[in-house]
Amino acid sequence: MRRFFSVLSAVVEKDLRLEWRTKESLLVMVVFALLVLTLFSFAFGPGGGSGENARSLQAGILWVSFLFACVIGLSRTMGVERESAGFSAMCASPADPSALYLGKVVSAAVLMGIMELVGFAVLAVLYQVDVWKSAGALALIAISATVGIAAAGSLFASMSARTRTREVLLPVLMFPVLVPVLIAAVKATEAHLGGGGWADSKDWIRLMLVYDVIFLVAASLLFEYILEE
Amino acid sequence: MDHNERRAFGWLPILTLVILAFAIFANFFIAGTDRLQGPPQRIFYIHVPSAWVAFFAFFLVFIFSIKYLAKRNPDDDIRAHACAEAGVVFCTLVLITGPIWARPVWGVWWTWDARLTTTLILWMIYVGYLMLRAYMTEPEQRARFAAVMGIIGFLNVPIVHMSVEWWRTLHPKPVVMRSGGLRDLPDSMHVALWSSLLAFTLLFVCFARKRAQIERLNARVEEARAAREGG
Repeated sequence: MRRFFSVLSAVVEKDLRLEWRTKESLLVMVVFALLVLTLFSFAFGPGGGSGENARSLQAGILWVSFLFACVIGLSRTMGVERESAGFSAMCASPADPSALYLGKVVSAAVLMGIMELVGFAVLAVLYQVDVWKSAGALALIAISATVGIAAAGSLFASMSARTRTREVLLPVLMFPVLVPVLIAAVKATEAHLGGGGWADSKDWIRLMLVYDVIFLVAASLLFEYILEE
Repeated sequence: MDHNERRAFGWLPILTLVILAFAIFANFFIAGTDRLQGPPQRIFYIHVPSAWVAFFAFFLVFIFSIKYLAKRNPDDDIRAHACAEAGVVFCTLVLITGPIWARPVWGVWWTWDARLTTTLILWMIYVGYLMLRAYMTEPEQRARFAAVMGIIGFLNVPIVHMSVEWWRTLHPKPVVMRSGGLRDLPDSMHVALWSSLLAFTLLFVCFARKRAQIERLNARVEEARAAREGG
């Protein structure tokens, strides 16, 4: 068990150190999320329109932007492994594949979390949303959704990084599988932005947590078969 | 496919054709016309069996994927591939017949009903599965990746269905026909439905077998080519 966590933290440390030095994916993710948030404002009118539909539109805009930005981050972290023969190294190492996988999930989720913090701030400014009022609830929603995105995303990214088309395939594989997370995150966020509160959001958060557990367990068992050479 | 296999299953396509012919006959001449929906209801006998076959096919992909990872028999990978491809064909049929049926009955081509939406997402997942296969060249690696995708894709089905159902119930219900269940069907409709179900299942088995057979031949051609180039 101790070995498991030392492998896990070694992978996380390596990924975050690499990111700290190059700041490659995080910067692209943040800028991309910003860009999509702005583009939606152009597409749907300033601030996502007005009236009672605005809140649900904003929740949707927010999570679609996050999902797009996450794809970029994921293809980057797995692309790095491919370019530097990281997959061969992981395969050759005696480390538990589940620990390697969970390490990748944690480091991806940390990067996504930072990107989402900026995203929420931008949402508050550009769309005049009072994010502070329900900061705790939004944080819980963001964490449960991000774990799901990172769990499914890391698995698919490790596959798509090694296809002929490289990263192009990732969204095609990832988005349909992430539909439940997207729906749940949007609905829960909408509940808190619109004043519905916990009564409307708790089932959605529970759904995301179930999804997270199923995916983390299934993918950490299956990652072994992705690594083999 | 060796000689024995061919002899044992030579009758299957013929049997399928006979039952399929009967099912079409039953659809148009035995089953009565629905009092509320009129003739468009007859698409039911194509729509529902296709949906059943598609789900059955994806379940088989799941089973063969697990079997492949456990035993590493390349034939299980070929079977999973064949089932996925045939399954996508029937799933496409569901998505085409659905709107054709919905238009005259519900007045819209598409409604974001839980079952329809789940089928659409399922279709996307397995099209992704086939694309993943298409973009990989190394057979052993392709088989492993595809098996992982086949397992994950199927595990996802109940969660997708649940989330889509909740998503819809928070909105005003669309004008969706709620059938009173199978018990309400008259006998003549039962004949048409069950014969069609049997015919479509056999048709799926024929497609998948043929597809697997072609894939085995492809693998042999590849092997022979590699052997010639190597020697």
